[in-house]
Amino acid sequence: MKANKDTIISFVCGLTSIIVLWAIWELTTALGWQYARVLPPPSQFLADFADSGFKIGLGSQAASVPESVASSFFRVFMGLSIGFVAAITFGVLVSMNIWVKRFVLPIVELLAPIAPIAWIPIALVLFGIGNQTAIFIVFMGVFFILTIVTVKLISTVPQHLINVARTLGYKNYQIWLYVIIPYILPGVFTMLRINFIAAWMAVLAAEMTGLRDGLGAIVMTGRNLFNSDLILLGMCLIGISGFIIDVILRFIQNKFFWWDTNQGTSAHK
Amino acid sequence: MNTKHTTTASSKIEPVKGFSCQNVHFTWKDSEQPVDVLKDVSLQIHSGEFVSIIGPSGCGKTTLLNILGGVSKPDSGTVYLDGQILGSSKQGVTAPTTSDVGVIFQDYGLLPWLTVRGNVAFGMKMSGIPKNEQKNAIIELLSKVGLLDFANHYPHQLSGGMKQRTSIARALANQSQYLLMDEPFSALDFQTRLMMQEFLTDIWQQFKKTIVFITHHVEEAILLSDKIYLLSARPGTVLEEVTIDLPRPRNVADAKFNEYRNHITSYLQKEVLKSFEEQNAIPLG
Ligand SMILES: Nc1ncnc2c1ncn2[C@@H]1O[C@H](COP(=O)(O)OP(=O)(O)O)[C@@H](O)[C@H]1O
Ligand SMILES: [Mg+2]
Repeated sequence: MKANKDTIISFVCGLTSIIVLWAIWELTTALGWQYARVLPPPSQFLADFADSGFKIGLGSQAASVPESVASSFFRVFMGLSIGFVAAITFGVLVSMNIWVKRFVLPIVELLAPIAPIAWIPIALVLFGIGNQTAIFIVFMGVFFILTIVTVKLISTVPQHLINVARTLGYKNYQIWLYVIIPYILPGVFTMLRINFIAAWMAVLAAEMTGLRDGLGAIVMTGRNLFNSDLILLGMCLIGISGFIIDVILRFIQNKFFWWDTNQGTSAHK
Repeated sequence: MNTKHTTTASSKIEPVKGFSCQNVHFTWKDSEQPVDVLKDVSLQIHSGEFVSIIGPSGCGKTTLLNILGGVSKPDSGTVYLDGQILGSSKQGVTAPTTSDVGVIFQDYGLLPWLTVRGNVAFGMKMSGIPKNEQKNAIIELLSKVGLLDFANHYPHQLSGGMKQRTSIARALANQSQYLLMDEPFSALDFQTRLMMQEFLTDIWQQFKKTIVFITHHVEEAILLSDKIYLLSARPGTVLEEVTIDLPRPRNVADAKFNEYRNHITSYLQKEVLKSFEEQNAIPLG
Protein backbone atom coordinates (compact mmCIF):
# COMPACT_ATOMS: atom_id res chain seq x y z
CA MET A 1 0.00 0.00 0.00
CA LYS A 2 2.90 2.31 0.79
CA ALA A 3 4.25 2.03 -2.73
CA ASN A 4 0.82 2.97 -4.00
CA LYS A 5 0.74 6.08 -1.87
CA ASP A 6 4.21 7.06 -3.09
CA THR A 7 3.07 6.72 -6.68
CA ILE A 8 0.07 8.94 -6.09
CA ILE A 9 2.16 11.62 -4.35
CA SER A 10 4.75 11.57 -7.14
CA PHE A 11 2.03 11.82 -9.74
CA VAL A 12 0.33 14.77 -8.05
CA CYS A 13 3.64 16.59 -7.62
CA GLY A 14 4.61 16.02 -11.24
CA LEU A 15 1.25 17.24 -12.46
CA THR A 16 1.49 20.32 -10.23
CA SER A 17 4.83 21.41 -11.65
CA ILE A 18 3.59 20.93 -15.20
CA ILE A 19 0.54 23.10 -14.47
CA VAL A 20 2.66 25.77 -12.78
CA LEU A 21 5.06 25.84 -15.72
CA TRP A 22 2.13 26.16 -18.09
CA ALA A 23 0.64 29.00 -16.00
CA ILE A 24 3.93 30.95 -15.99
CA TRP A 25 4.20 30.47 -19.72
CA GLU A 26 0.69 31.80 -20.35
CA LEU A 27 1.24 34.64 -17.88
CA THR A 28 4.46 35.93 -19.45
CA THR A 29 2.77 35.98 -22.84
CA ALA A 30 -0.28 37.78 -21.46
CA LEU A 31 2.06 40.36 -19.90
CA GLY A 32 3.54 41.03 -23.32
CA TRP A 33 6.89 39.24 -23.14
CA GLN A 34 8.86 40.02 -26.29
CA TYR A 35 9.65 36.42 -27.21
CA ALA A 36 6.02 35.34 -27.09
CA ARG A 37 6.04 35.38 -30.87
CA VAL A 38 8.53 32.47 -31.10
CA LEU A 39 7.26 30.76 -27.98
CA PRO A 40 3.46 30.96 -28.23
CA PRO A 41 1.79 29.37 -25.20
CA PRO A 42 -0.44 26.31 -25.47
CA SER A 43 -3.67 28.35 -25.36
CA GLN A 44 -2.57 29.97 -28.61
CA PHE A 45 -1.10 27.11 -30.58
CA LEU A 46 -3.79 24.69 -29.53
CA ALA A 47 -6.51 27.15 -30.59
CA ASP A 48 -4.84 27.69 -33.95
CA PHE A 49 -4.50 24.00 -34.29
CA ALA A 50 -8.20 23.40 -33.64
CA ASP A 51 -9.07 26.08 -36.19
CA SER A 52 -7.11 24.29 -38.87
CA GLY A 53 -9.18 21.15 -38.35
CA PHE A 54 -6.24 19.15 -36.94
CA LYS A 55 -4.49 19.35 -40.29
CA ILE A 56 -1.00 20.52 -40.97
CA GLY A 57 0.44 21.80 -44.20
CA LEU A 58 -1.12 23.44 -47.21
CA GLY A 59 -3.85 22.19 -49.52
CA SER A 60 -3.51 18.68 -50.80
CA GLN A 61 -0.20 18.15 -48.99
CA ALA A 62 -1.85 18.60 -45.59
CA ALA A 63 -1.45 15.71 -43.22
CA SER A 64 -3.67 15.11 -40.24
CA VAL A 65 -1.96 15.24 -36.87
CA PRO A 66 -3.21 11.87 -35.61
CA GLU A 67 -1.81 10.34 -38.79
CA SER A 68 1.56 11.95 -38.15
CA VAL A 69 1.63 10.68 -34.60
CA ALA A 70 0.54 7.23 -35.70
CA SER A 71 3.21 6.98 -38.38
CA SER A 72 6.00 7.98 -35.97
CA PHE A 73 4.76 5.45 -33.42
CA PHE A 74 4.52 2.76 -36.07
CA ARG A 75 8.08 3.39 -37.25
CA VAL A 76 9.55 3.32 -33.79
CA PHE A 77 7.73 0.20 -32.71
CA MET A 78 8.49 -1.67 -35.91
CA GLY A 79 12.15 -0.73 -35.68
CA LEU A 80 12.40 -1.67 -32.00
CA SER A 81 10.55 -4.98 -32.40
CA ILE A 82 12.51 -6.09 -35.43
CA GLY A 83 15.76 -4.94 -33.80
CA PHE A 84 14.96 -6.79 -30.57
CA VAL A 85 14.06 -10.08 -32.23
CA ALA A 86 16.88 -9.89 -34.78
CA ALA A 87 19.53 -9.00 -32.19
CA ILE A 88 18.55 -11.90 -29.93
CA THR A 89 18.45 -14.32 -32.84
CA PHE A 90 21.76 -13.11 -34.19
CA GLY A 91 23.36 -12.99 -30.72
CA VAL A 92 22.27 -16.56 -30.06
CA LEU A 93 23.61 -17.78 -33.41
CA VAL A 94 26.91 -16.00 -32.84
CA SER A 95 27.23 -17.45 -29.34
CA MET A 96 26.72 -21.01 -30.52
CA ASN A 97 30.20 -21.29 -31.92
CA ILE A 98 33.31 -19.80 -30.37
CA TRP A 99 34.94 -19.23 -33.77
CA VAL A 100 31.95 -17.45 -35.23
CA LYS A 101 31.94 -15.35 -32.08
CA ARG A 102 35.60 -14.47 -32.43
CA PHE A 103 35.24 -13.43 -36.07
CA VAL A 104 31.86 -11.71 -36.01
CA LEU A 105 31.77 -9.90 -32.68
CA PRO A 106 34.54 -7.37 -33.48
CA ILE A 107 32.58 -6.22 -36.53
CA VAL A 108 29.46 -5.74 -34.44
CA GLU A 109 31.47 -3.85 -31.83
CA LEU A 110 32.84 -1.59 -34.55
CA LEU A 111 29.38 -0.80 -35.91
CA ALA A 112 27.67 -0.31 -32.56
CA PRO A 113 29.06 3.16 -31.71
CA ILE A 114 27.77 4.66 -34.97
CA ALA A 115 24.98 7.01 -33.96
CA PRO A 116 21.62 6.05 -35.47
CA ILE A 117 21.41 9.53 -37.04
CA ALA A 118 24.50 8.74 -39.09
CA TRP A 119 22.54 6.02 -40.88
CA ILE A 120 20.01 8.49 -42.30
CA PRO A 121 21.82 9.30 -45.57
CA ILE A 122 22.46 5.65 -46.37
CA ALA A 123 18.90 4.72 -45.45
CA LEU A 124 17.52 7.39 -47.77
CA VAL A 125 19.64 6.08 -50.63
CA LEU A 126 18.70 2.48 -49.93
CA PHE A 127 15.00 2.82 -49.27
CA GLY A 128 14.02 6.27 -50.50
CA ILE A 129 11.41 8.30 -48.72
CA GLY A 130 9.10 6.11 -46.71
CA ASN A 131 8.50 3.97 -43.66
CA GLN A 132 11.26 1.54 -44.52
CA THR A 133 13.87 4.24 -44.12
CA ALA A 134 12.68 5.23 -40.67
CA ILE A 135 12.33 1.62 -39.53
CA PHE A 136 15.81 0.87 -40.83
CA ILE A 137 17.25 3.76 -38.83
CA VAL A 138 15.62 2.66 -35.58
CA PHE A 139 16.72 -0.88 -36.30
CA MET A 140 20.34 0.16 -36.82
CA GLY A 141 20.13 2.23 -33.67
CA VAL A 142 19.39 -0.79 -31.47
CA PHE A 143 20.52 -3.89 -33.37
CA PHE A 144 24.28 -3.84 -32.77
CA ILE A 145 24.23 -2.83 -29.16
CA LEU A 146 21.51 -5.39 -28.36
CA THR A 147 23.51 -8.08 -30.15
CA ILE A 148 26.51 -7.30 -27.97
CA VAL A 149 24.35 -7.36 -24.84
CA THR A 150 22.79 -10.66 -25.90
CA VAL A 151 26.17 -12.29 -26.40
CA LYS A 152 27.45 -10.92 -23.11
CA LEU A 153 24.39 -12.06 -21.13
CA ILE A 154 24.46 -15.52 -22.68
CA SER A 155 27.91 -16.02 -21.21
CA THR A 156 26.52 -15.25 -17.75
CA VAL A 157 23.82 -17.94 -17.72
CA PRO A 158 24.69 -20.10 -14.68
CA GLN A 159 26.08 -23.48 -15.67
CA HIS A 160 23.93 -25.22 -13.08
CA LEU A 161 20.70 -24.05 -14.76
CA ILE A 162 21.93 -25.57 -18.00
CA ASN A 163 22.91 -28.74 -16.16
CA VAL A 164 19.47 -28.95 -14.60
CA ALA A 165 17.84 -28.87 -18.02
CA ARG A 166 20.34 -31.33 -19.43
CA THR A 167 19.81 -33.89 -16.68
CA LEU A 168 16.07 -33.47 -17.13
CA GLY A 169 16.46 -34.64 -20.70
CA TYR A 170 16.46 -31.36 -22.61
CA LYS A 171 18.32 -31.31 -25.90
CA ASN A 172 20.70 -28.50 -26.79
CA TYR A 173 18.23 -26.52 -28.89
CA GLN A 174 15.63 -26.89 -26.16
CA ILE A 175 18.08 -25.55 -23.59
CA TRP A 176 18.56 -22.47 -25.77
CA LEU A 177 14.83 -22.09 -26.18
CA TYR A 178 13.65 -22.76 -22.64
CA VAL A 179 16.57 -21.71 -20.45
CA ILE A 180 19.12 -19.43 -22.08
CA ILE A 181 16.84 -17.14 -24.08
CA PRO A 182 14.30 -16.56 -21.27
CA TYR A 183 17.21 -15.94 -18.92
CA ILE A 184 18.59 -13.07 -21.00
CA LEU A 185 15.31 -11.42 -22.11
CA PRO A 186 14.93 -8.92 -19.23
CA GLY A 187 18.50 -7.69 -19.57
CA VAL A 188 18.22 -7.25 -23.32
CA PHE A 189 14.91 -5.46 -22.96
CA THR A 190 16.33 -3.07 -20.38
CA MET A 191 19.05 -2.21 -22.88
CA LEU A 192 16.38 -1.67 -25.55
CA ARG A 193 14.67 0.86 -23.31
CA ILE A 194 17.94 2.67 -22.68
CA ASN A 195 18.67 2.89 -26.40
CA PHE A 196 15.15 3.84 -27.38
CA ILE A 197 15.84 7.57 -26.89
CA ALA A 198 18.65 7.60 -29.45
CA ALA A 199 16.51 5.67 -31.92
CA TRP A 200 13.56 8.00 -31.33
CA MET A 201 15.69 11.06 -32.02
CA ALA A 202 17.01 9.51 -35.18
CA VAL A 203 13.50 8.93 -36.49
CA LEU A 204 12.56 12.53 -35.77
CA ALA A 205 15.68 13.75 -37.51
CA ALA A 206 14.86 11.56 -40.50
CA GLU A 207 11.34 12.94 -40.56
CA MET A 208 12.71 16.47 -40.50
CA THR A 209 15.24 15.94 -43.25
CA GLY A 210 14.11 13.32 -45.68
CA LEU A 211 10.64 12.01 -44.96
CA ARG A 212 7.65 14.33 -45.31
CA ASP A 213 5.37 12.98 -42.63
CA GLY A 214 5.49 12.06 -38.98
CA LEU A 215 6.08 14.22 -35.91
CA GLY A 216 9.42 15.55 -37.09
CA ALA A 217 7.79 16.78 -40.28
CA ILE A 218 5.31 18.88 -38.28
CA VAL A 219 8.17 20.89 -36.80
CA MET A 220 9.81 21.21 -40.21
CA THR A 221 6.58 22.35 -41.88
CA GLY A 222 6.25 24.96 -39.15
CA ARG A 223 9.73 26.20 -39.88
CA ASN A 224 9.16 26.38 -43.62
CA LEU A 225 5.91 28.31 -43.11
CA PHE A 226 7.47 30.58 -40.43
CA ASN A 227 4.70 29.33 -38.18
CA SER A 228 5.85 29.19 -34.56
CA ASP A 229 2.49 27.80 -33.43
CA LEU A 230 3.15 24.75 -35.52
CA ILE A 231 6.74 24.39 -34.27
CA LEU A 232 5.62 24.51 -30.66
CA LEU A 233 2.78 22.11 -31.31
CA GLY A 234 5.21 19.67 -32.92
CA MET A 235 7.62 19.97 -30.03
CA CYS A 236 4.90 19.33 -27.47
CA LEU A 237 3.66 16.32 -29.38
CA ILE A 238 7.21 14.95 -29.61
CA GLY A 239 7.70 15.33 -25.88
CA ILE A 240 4.39 13.71 -25.00
CA SER A 241 4.80 10.90 -27.52
CA GLY A 242 8.30 10.06 -26.33
CA PHE A 243 7.02 9.94 -22.79
CA ILE A 244 4.09 7.69 -23.74
CA ILE A 245 6.37 5.28 -25.62
CA ASP A 246 8.63 5.06 -22.59
CA VAL A 247 5.62 4.30 -20.40
CA ILE A 248 4.54 1.59 -22.84
CA LEU A 249 8.03 0.08 -22.85
CA ARG A 250 8.11 0.12 -19.07
CA PHE A 251 4.73 -1.56 -19.00
CA ILE A 252 5.96 -4.28 -21.36
CA GLN A 253 9.01 -4.79 -19.15
CA ASN A 254 6.95 -5.14 -15.98
CA LYS A 255 4.39 -7.37 -17.62
CA PHE A 256 6.54 -9.69 -19.72
CA PHE A 257 10.21 -9.31 -18.82
CA TRP A 258 10.11 -8.67 -15.11
CA TRP A 259 12.20 -11.42 -13.61
CA ASP A 260 15.39 -10.68 -11.81
CA THR A 261 17.81 -13.44 -12.64
CA ASN A 262 19.63 -12.83 -9.38
CA GLN A 263 16.61 -14.04 -7.48
CA GLY A 264 15.03 -17.44 -7.34
CA THR A 265 18.07 -19.14 -8.78
CA SER A 266 20.16 -18.13 -5.85
CA ALA A 267 20.36 -19.27 -2.27
CA HIS A 268 20.11 -15.73 -1.00
CA LYS A 269 16.56 -14.60 -1.25
CA MET B 1 31.90 -50.27 14.39
CA ASN B 2 30.29 -51.32 11.24
CA THR B 3 32.87 -49.89 8.89
CA LYS B 4 35.02 -51.51 6.31
CA HIS B 5 38.06 -50.13 4.61
CA THR B 6 37.74 -49.94 0.86
CA THR B 7 39.76 -52.38 -1.04
CA THR B 8 42.68 -51.49 -3.27
CA ALA B 9 42.37 -49.66 -6.57
CA SER B 10 42.66 -52.74 -8.72
CA SER B 11 39.64 -54.44 -7.23
CA LYS B 12 36.72 -54.92 -9.60
CA ILE B 13 33.17 -54.01 -8.69
CA GLU B 14 30.49 -55.88 -10.55
CA PRO B 15 28.01 -53.52 -12.23
CA VAL B 16 24.57 -53.88 -10.68
CA LYS B 17 21.31 -51.93 -10.62
CA GLY B 18 22.41 -48.48 -9.48
CA PHE B 19 25.60 -46.51 -9.83
CA SER B 20 28.95 -48.11 -9.97
CA CYS B 21 32.11 -46.00 -10.19
CA GLN B 22 35.33 -47.78 -10.99
CA ASN B 23 38.68 -46.08 -10.53
CA VAL B 24 37.41 -42.69 -11.57
CA HIS B 25 40.00 -39.95 -12.08
CA PHE B 26 39.25 -36.33 -12.84
CA THR B 27 41.60 -33.42 -13.48
CA TRP B 28 40.79 -29.79 -14.22
CA LYS B 29 43.14 -28.81 -17.01
CA ASP B 30 41.80 -25.37 -17.91
CA SER B 31 43.88 -23.55 -15.29
CA GLU B 32 47.64 -22.95 -15.52
CA GLN B 33 48.38 -25.83 -13.24
CA PRO B 34 46.21 -28.86 -13.73
CA VAL B 35 44.28 -29.68 -10.57
CA ASP B 36 43.78 -33.32 -9.69
CA VAL B 37 40.33 -33.40 -8.18
CA LEU B 38 39.31 -37.04 -8.04
CA LYS B 39 41.77 -39.87 -7.70
CA ASP B 40 40.84 -43.44 -8.07
CA VAL B 41 37.29 -43.15 -6.79
CA SER B 42 35.42 -46.43 -6.64
CA LEU B 43 32.03 -46.69 -5.10
CA GLN B 44 28.74 -48.42 -5.45
CA ILE B 45 25.24 -47.13 -4.97
CA HIS B 46 22.51 -49.72 -5.14
CA SER B 47 19.06 -48.96 -6.41
CA GLY B 48 16.83 -47.83 -3.56
CA GLU B 49 19.66 -46.84 -1.26
CA PHE B 50 20.17 -43.55 0.50
CA VAL B 51 23.86 -42.83 0.22
CA SER B 52 25.69 -39.80 1.57
CA ILE B 53 29.06 -38.46 0.57
CA ILE B 54 31.04 -36.45 3.07
CA GLY B 55 34.34 -34.71 2.47
CA PRO B 56 36.17 -31.46 3.18
CA SER B 57 35.35 -28.46 1.05
CA GLY B 58 36.99 -28.53 -2.36
CA CYS B 59 37.70 -32.25 -2.32
CA GLY B 60 35.68 -32.89 -5.47
CA LYS B 61 32.20 -33.79 -4.22
CA THR B 62 30.42 -31.57 -6.73
CA THR B 63 32.69 -32.83 -9.47
CA LEU B 64 31.80 -36.41 -8.56
CA LEU B 65 28.10 -35.59 -8.59
CA ASN B 66 28.42 -33.99 -12.03
CA ILE B 67 30.06 -37.16 -13.27
CA LEU B 68 27.24 -39.29 -11.84
CA GLY B 69 24.73 -36.91 -13.46
CA GLY B 70 26.39 -37.37 -16.85
CA VAL B 71 27.29 -33.69 -17.06
CA SER B 72 31.06 -34.21 -16.77
CA LYS B 73 33.17 -37.05 -18.03
CA PRO B 74 35.91 -38.70 -16.01
CA ASP B 75 39.44 -38.62 -17.44
CA SER B 76 39.77 -42.27 -16.75
CA GLY B 77 37.75 -44.94 -15.05
CA THR B 78 34.20 -45.93 -15.77
CA VAL B 79 30.82 -45.08 -14.37
CA TYR B 80 28.02 -47.54 -14.84
CA LEU B 81 24.37 -46.73 -14.39
CA ASP B 82 22.20 -49.83 -14.26
CA GLY B 83 25.03 -51.73 -15.90
CA GLN B 84 25.36 -49.26 -18.80
CA ILE B 85 28.42 -47.10 -19.27
CA LEU B 86 27.70 -43.42 -18.62
CA GLY B 87 29.55 -41.41 -21.21
CA SER B 88 29.61 -37.76 -22.15
CA SER B 89 31.94 -35.05 -23.27
CA LYS B 90 33.90 -33.20 -20.66
CA GLN B 91 32.19 -29.86 -21.10
CA GLY B 92 28.89 -31.64 -21.30
CA VAL B 93 28.03 -29.77 -24.49
CA THR B 94 27.22 -32.92 -26.37
CA ALA B 95 26.34 -34.95 -23.32
CA PRO B 96 23.78 -37.62 -23.96
CA THR B 97 21.19 -36.96 -21.35
CA THR B 98 20.45 -39.37 -18.58
CA SER B 99 16.94 -38.41 -17.69
CA ASP B 100 16.95 -41.21 -15.17
CA VAL B 101 18.91 -38.87 -12.96
CA GLY B 102 17.61 -35.72 -11.34
CA VAL B 103 19.94 -33.17 -9.80
CA ILE B 104 19.10 -30.94 -6.87
CA PHE B 105 21.40 -28.05 -6.00
CA GLN B 106 22.09 -26.09 -2.88
CA ASP B 107 20.91 -22.95 -4.64
CA TYR B 108 17.82 -24.66 -6.06
CA GLY B 109 18.37 -23.93 -9.75
CA LEU B 110 14.78 -22.84 -10.22
CA LEU B 111 13.85 -20.84 -13.30
CA PRO B 112 12.78 -17.43 -11.98
CA TRP B 113 10.36 -16.73 -14.82
CA LEU B 114 8.29 -19.83 -14.08
CA THR B 115 5.87 -20.37 -11.23
CA VAL B 116 6.17 -23.34 -8.88
CA ARG B 117 3.78 -25.18 -11.18
CA GLY B 118 5.78 -24.06 -14.20
CA ASN B 119 9.04 -25.27 -12.73
CA VAL B 120 7.55 -28.66 -11.94
CA ALA B 121 6.06 -28.79 -15.44
CA PHE B 122 9.53 -27.98 -16.77
CA GLY B 123 10.71 -31.16 -15.07
CA MET B 124 7.88 -33.23 -16.49
CA LYS B 125 8.14 -32.00 -20.08
CA MET B 126 10.68 -34.63 -21.15
CA SER B 127 9.45 -37.38 -18.85
CA GLY B 128 7.41 -39.22 -21.43
CA ILE B 129 4.21 -38.82 -19.45
CA PRO B 130 1.43 -38.13 -21.99
CA LYS B 131 0.64 -34.41 -22.31
CA ASN B 132 -2.97 -34.73 -21.23
CA GLU B 133 -2.01 -36.52 -18.02
CA GLN B 134 0.70 -34.07 -17.06
CA LYS B 135 -1.62 -31.48 -15.57
CA ASN B 136 -3.09 -33.89 -13.04
CA ALA B 137 0.27 -35.48 -12.34
CA ILE B 138 1.69 -32.06 -11.48
CA ILE B 139 -1.16 -31.27 -9.13
CA GLU B 140 -0.71 -34.61 -7.40
CA LEU B 141 3.00 -33.99 -7.03
CA LEU B 142 2.50 -30.47 -5.69
CA SER B 143 0.15 -31.74 -3.04
CA LYS B 144 2.65 -34.45 -2.07
CA VAL B 145 5.36 -31.86 -1.45
CA GLY B 146 2.88 -29.52 0.25
CA LEU B 147 3.05 -26.73 -2.30
CA LEU B 148 -0.42 -26.86 -3.82
CA ASP B 149 -1.35 -23.51 -2.30
CA PHE B 150 1.78 -21.99 -3.75
CA ALA B 151 1.41 -23.39 -7.27
CA ASN B 152 1.13 -19.94 -8.80
CA HIS B 153 3.90 -18.31 -6.80
CA TYR B 154 7.21 -17.39 -8.36
CA PRO B 155 10.50 -18.55 -6.84
CA HIS B 156 11.33 -15.13 -5.39
CA GLN B 157 8.09 -15.27 -3.42
CA LEU B 158 9.05 -18.52 -1.67
CA SER B 159 11.04 -19.34 1.45
CA GLY B 160 14.23 -21.36 1.11
CA GLY B 161 12.53 -24.58 2.20
CA MET B 162 9.74 -24.09 -0.34
CA LYS B 163 12.25 -23.43 -3.08
CA GLN B 164 14.06 -26.63 -2.24
CA ARG B 165 10.79 -28.59 -2.18
CA THR B 166 9.95 -27.16 -5.60
CA SER B 167 13.32 -28.27 -6.84
CA ILE B 168 12.74 -31.76 -5.44
CA ALA B 169 9.26 -31.88 -6.98
CA ARG B 170 10.79 -30.94 -10.32
CA ALA B 171 13.24 -33.84 -10.11
CA LEU B 172 10.41 -36.20 -9.12
CA ALA B 173 8.32 -34.90 -12.01
CA ASN B 174 10.85 -36.27 -14.42
CA GLN B 175 10.26 -39.75 -13.00
CA SER B 176 13.99 -39.98 -12.32
CA GLN B 177 14.86 -43.03 -10.28
CA TYR B 178 18.04 -41.36 -9.02
CA LEU B 179 18.17 -38.09 -7.15
CA LEU B 180 21.56 -36.46 -6.84
CA MET B 181 21.60 -33.79 -4.17
CA ASP B 182 24.47 -31.36 -3.75
CA GLU B 183 24.39 -29.90 -0.23
CA PRO B 184 20.68 -29.26 -0.71
CA PHE B 185 19.94 -28.01 2.79
CA SER B 186 23.02 -26.01 3.67
CA ALA B 187 21.43 -22.67 2.81
CA LEU B 188 18.47 -23.35 5.11
CA ASP B 189 18.07 -22.33 8.71
CA PHE B 190 18.20 -24.96 11.43
CA GLN B 191 14.44 -25.45 11.88
CA THR B 192 13.74 -25.63 8.16
CA ARG B 193 16.63 -28.02 7.78
CA LEU B 194 15.13 -30.46 10.31
CA MET B 195 11.79 -30.31 8.54
CA MET B 196 13.40 -30.88 5.19
CA GLN B 197 15.31 -33.90 6.50
CA GLU B 198 12.06 -35.45 7.57
CA PHE B 199 10.45 -34.48 4.29
CA LEU B 200 13.25 -36.07 2.30
CA THR B 201 13.02 -39.32 4.26
CA ASP B 202 9.30 -39.41 3.50
CA ILE B 203 9.88 -38.77 -0.19
CA TRP B 204 12.59 -41.40 -0.35
CA GLN B 205 10.41 -44.06 1.27
CA GLN B 206 7.22 -43.13 -0.51
CA PHE B 207 8.67 -42.89 -4.03
CA LYS B 208 11.28 -45.62 -3.53
CA LYS B 209 14.02 -43.45 -5.00
CA THR B 210 17.76 -43.83 -4.91
CA ILE B 211 19.35 -40.80 -3.33
CA VAL B 212 22.95 -39.64 -3.47
CA PHE B 213 23.31 -36.93 -0.91
CA ILE B 214 26.28 -34.62 -0.47
CA THR B 215 26.58 -32.85 2.83
CA HIS B 216 28.99 -31.24 5.25
CA HIS B 217 26.77 -32.10 8.12
CA VAL B 218 27.81 -35.28 9.91
CA GLU B 219 24.63 -35.66 11.95
CA GLU B 220 22.45 -35.14 8.90
CA ALA B 221 24.32 -37.85 7.02
CA ILE B 222 23.94 -40.38 9.84
CA LEU B 223 20.30 -39.48 10.31
CA LEU B 224 19.39 -40.05 6.67
CA SER B 225 21.74 -42.58 5.13
CA ASP B 226 22.05 -46.29 4.65
CA LYS B 227 25.67 -45.79 3.78
CA ILE B 228 28.17 -42.94 3.94
CA TYR B 229 31.28 -42.53 1.80
CA LEU B 230 34.05 -40.55 3.43
CA LEU B 231 36.25 -38.75 0.93
CA SER B 232 39.80 -37.58 1.54
CA ALA B 233 41.09 -34.05 1.05
CA ARG B 234 41.83 -33.20 -2.59
CA PRO B 235 42.50 -35.17 -4.67
CA GLY B 236 39.39 -36.86 -3.39
CA THR B 237 39.40 -40.58 -2.97
CA VAL B 238 37.19 -42.89 -0.95
CA LEU B 239 38.75 -43.42 2.44
CA GLU B 240 36.01 -45.40 4.00
CA GLU B 241 32.54 -46.74 3.46
CA VAL B 242 30.44 -46.55 6.61
CA THR B 243 27.23 -48.54 6.76
CA ILE B 244 24.76 -47.01 9.17
CA ASP B 245 23.15 -49.89 10.92
CA LEU B 246 20.42 -48.13 12.87
CA PRO B 247 16.66 -48.57 12.68
CA ARG B 248 14.59 -45.61 11.44
CA PRO B 249 13.42 -43.18 12.69
CA ARG B 250 16.83 -42.49 14.18
CA ASN B 251 17.57 -40.76 17.41
CA VAL B 252 20.51 -38.38 17.63
CA ALA B 253 20.81 -39.09 21.37
CA ASP B 254 21.27 -42.80 20.78
CA ALA B 255 24.58 -44.26 21.98
CA LYS B 256 25.35 -45.98 18.72
CA PHE B 257 24.46 -42.85 16.82
CA ASN B 258 27.04 -41.07 18.92
CA GLU B 259 29.67 -43.64 18.06
CA TYR B 260 29.12 -43.04 14.36
CA ARG B 261 29.22 -39.34 14.94
CA ASN B 262 32.52 -39.43 16.81
CA HIS B 263 34.10 -41.67 14.24
CA ILE B 264 33.08 -39.57 11.24
CA THR B 265 33.79 -36.25 12.93
CA SER B 266 37.33 -37.22 13.79
CA TYR B 267 37.94 -38.39 10.23
CA LEU B 268 36.55 -35.13 8.89
CA GLN B 269 38.68 -33.00 11.19
CA LYS B 270 41.79 -34.84 10.06
CA GLU B 271 40.99 -34.34 6.38
CA VAL B 272 40.01 -30.69 6.76
CA LEU B 273 43.32 -30.09 8.51
CA LYS B 274 45.12 -31.82 5.68
CA SER B 275 43.45 -29.66 3.08
CA PHE B 276 44.39 -26.54 5.05
CA GLU B 277 47.98 -27.63 5.21
CA GLU B 278 48.05 -28.25 1.51
CA GLN B 279 46.64 -24.82 0.81
CA ASN B 280 49.28 -23.21 3.00
CA ALA B 281 52.04 -25.17 1.33
CA ILE B 282 51.24 -23.55 -2.02
CA PRO B 283 52.29 -19.90 -2.04
CA LEU B 284 49.34 -17.76 -2.98
CA GLY B 285 49.30 -15.68 -6.16
N1 LIG C 1 35.53 -25.11 -13.56
C1 LIG C 1 36.63 -25.39 -12.83
N2 LIG C 1 37.85 -25.17 -13.33
C2 LIG C 1 38.95 -25.45 -12.61
N3 LIG C 1 38.94 -25.96 -11.38
C3 LIG C 1 37.74 -26.21 -10.81
C4 LIG C 1 36.52 -25.93 -11.51
N4 LIG C 1 35.50 -26.27 -10.70
C5 LIG C 1 36.05 -26.73 -9.57
N5 LIG C 1 37.39 -26.70 -9.62
C6 LIG C 1 38.32 -27.15 -8.59
O1 LIG C 1 38.05 -28.49 -8.30
C7 LIG C 1 38.08 -28.73 -6.92
C8 LIG C 1 36.87 -29.52 -6.50
O2 LIG C 1 35.73 -28.76 -6.69
P1 LIG C 1 34.30 -29.27 -6.21
O3 LIG C 1 34.02 -30.57 -6.86
O4 LIG C 1 33.34 -28.18 -6.47
O5 LIG C 1 34.53 -29.45 -4.65
P2 LIG C 1 33.45 -29.66 -3.48
O6 LIG C 1 32.10 -29.74 -4.09
O7 LIG C 1 33.87 -30.90 -2.80
O8 LIG C 1 33.61 -28.49 -2.57
C9 LIG C 1 38.15 -27.40 -6.22
O9 LIG C 1 39.36 -27.34 -5.53
C10 LIG C 1 38.10 -26.37 -7.31
O10 LIG C 1 39.15 -25.46 -7.11
MG1 LIG D 1 30.46 -28.48 -3.88
